Amino acid sequence: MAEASARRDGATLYVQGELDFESVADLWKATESLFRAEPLHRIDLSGVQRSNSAGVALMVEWLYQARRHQWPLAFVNIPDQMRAIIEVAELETVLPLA
Amino acid sequence: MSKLIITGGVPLYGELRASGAKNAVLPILAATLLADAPVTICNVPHLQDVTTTMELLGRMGVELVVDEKMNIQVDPRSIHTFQAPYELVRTMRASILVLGPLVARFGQAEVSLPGGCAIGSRPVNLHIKGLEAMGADIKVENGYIRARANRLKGAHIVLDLVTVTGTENLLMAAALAQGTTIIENAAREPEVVDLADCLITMGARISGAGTDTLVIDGVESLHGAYYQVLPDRIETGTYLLAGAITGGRVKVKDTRPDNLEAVLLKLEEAGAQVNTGPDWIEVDMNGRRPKAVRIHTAPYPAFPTDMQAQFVALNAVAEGTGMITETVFENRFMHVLELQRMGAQIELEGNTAVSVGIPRLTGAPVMATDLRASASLILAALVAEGDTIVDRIYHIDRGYDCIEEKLSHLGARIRRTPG
Repeated sequence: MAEASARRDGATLYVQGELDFESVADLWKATESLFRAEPLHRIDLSGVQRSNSAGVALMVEWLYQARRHQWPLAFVNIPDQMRAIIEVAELETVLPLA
Repeated sequence: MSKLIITGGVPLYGELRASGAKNAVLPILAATLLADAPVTICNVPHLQDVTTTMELLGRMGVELVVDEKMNIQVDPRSIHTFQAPYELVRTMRASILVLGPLVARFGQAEVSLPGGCAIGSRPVNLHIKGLEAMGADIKVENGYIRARANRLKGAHIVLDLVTVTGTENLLMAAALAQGTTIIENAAREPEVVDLADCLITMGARISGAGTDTLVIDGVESLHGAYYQVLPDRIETGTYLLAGAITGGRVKVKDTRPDNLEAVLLKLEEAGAQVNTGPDWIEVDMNGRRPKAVRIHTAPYPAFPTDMQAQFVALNAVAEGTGMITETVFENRFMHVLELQRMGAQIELEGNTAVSVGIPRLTGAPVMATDLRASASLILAALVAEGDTIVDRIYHIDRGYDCIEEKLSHLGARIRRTPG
């Protein structure tokens, strides 16, 4: 079963592991409280080894939460494989990709 | 509403890859409902109808994930709703394909009646009669087909008419029925065979796929699987015609020549040099103008109705007089009126389009009326003088994966304007 984790450092959230249907649910639970604390401005995805559309769905949810708090948010260091899914889903203009 | 703007007059040259078949992937996505574990579907085309089917399954509670190659993993175990609502069915008639799997696997289904259809009457009574023969209790009320059943039972079903989706719905239902089901006068289309192959990969026991008699020995359950959808023969044929109509040379790779024999024969009749390999087809017109052809549409293996509109466009610019008779659908010549606006000399006599070919059409604003009519207008635009603006292209997005990218790759001058 795929596993993923996230670590906060200042205004940046570093994500690691594989993002699939199961791991994303756990990762959302683990990061939910971060969106009630200090502002997050960047989510660094360089540690994502593999993702499917569940990972992209989590990016959309993170963006939604950031916008609720009016935090400017950018996704950085997106792996090519994940960027390809974002393009398949035609979300490249919706998600703030740096 | 988005539009396509095409500047004609450029012969198309080059090669491209066929996408997965729309008419196969939609029933296969519906078939995943029958499984008791995740099913992964590969070679899925990026089409609006696929998105609609995913939304339909998602609303039922089915879990779907997609990877970067558009492989879709479907896990039906989380399903909680057994309904296909009107707002989805009216945009995609293929939604009816969930009826058989839902009744067979979960004993209940509520599927909206599709309503009117732009290309003529396509009743679903044969689906209903077949499921009733297998023991389902079906009521049509408030615009919905409401079906209930304990485990379906095998039956001997003779279809009054050859129906592709009817055959597919009953095939899927029979896969989990108790005992043996025989479907006579079944559709023989390659997409039906592909569905049967997918079901067999999931553990079903089916024989006779590709003939007019299917024999299905029902099993207790179907398991998860990986399945690669077959290439789209209609998309393949459309791009080959784009090469032929422009006097160019087009090679389509990752396709199946054996599924396109009737179309390839007509391309040869039109003067094209056709070469094939195990998984590719090349059409070369050597710069010549095509010759007009005579065609009767009929169920597979005869000439496909889904290629009729494209050949009407070819005849419009071909040497001589061509005749195309539509015998499958009753109102499938809406593109003729639009082609006439581009200067085509076509007369409709009942269900036959008689064309006197002219060397060149003229660009005009035209309106797509259905999926294959849209393809026909784009082909005509490729050989028209000046710009053709094709409106209502949501029809084309239902069935052609990245059409402007693929045509541009062959040298066409085509662009999309946002609505």
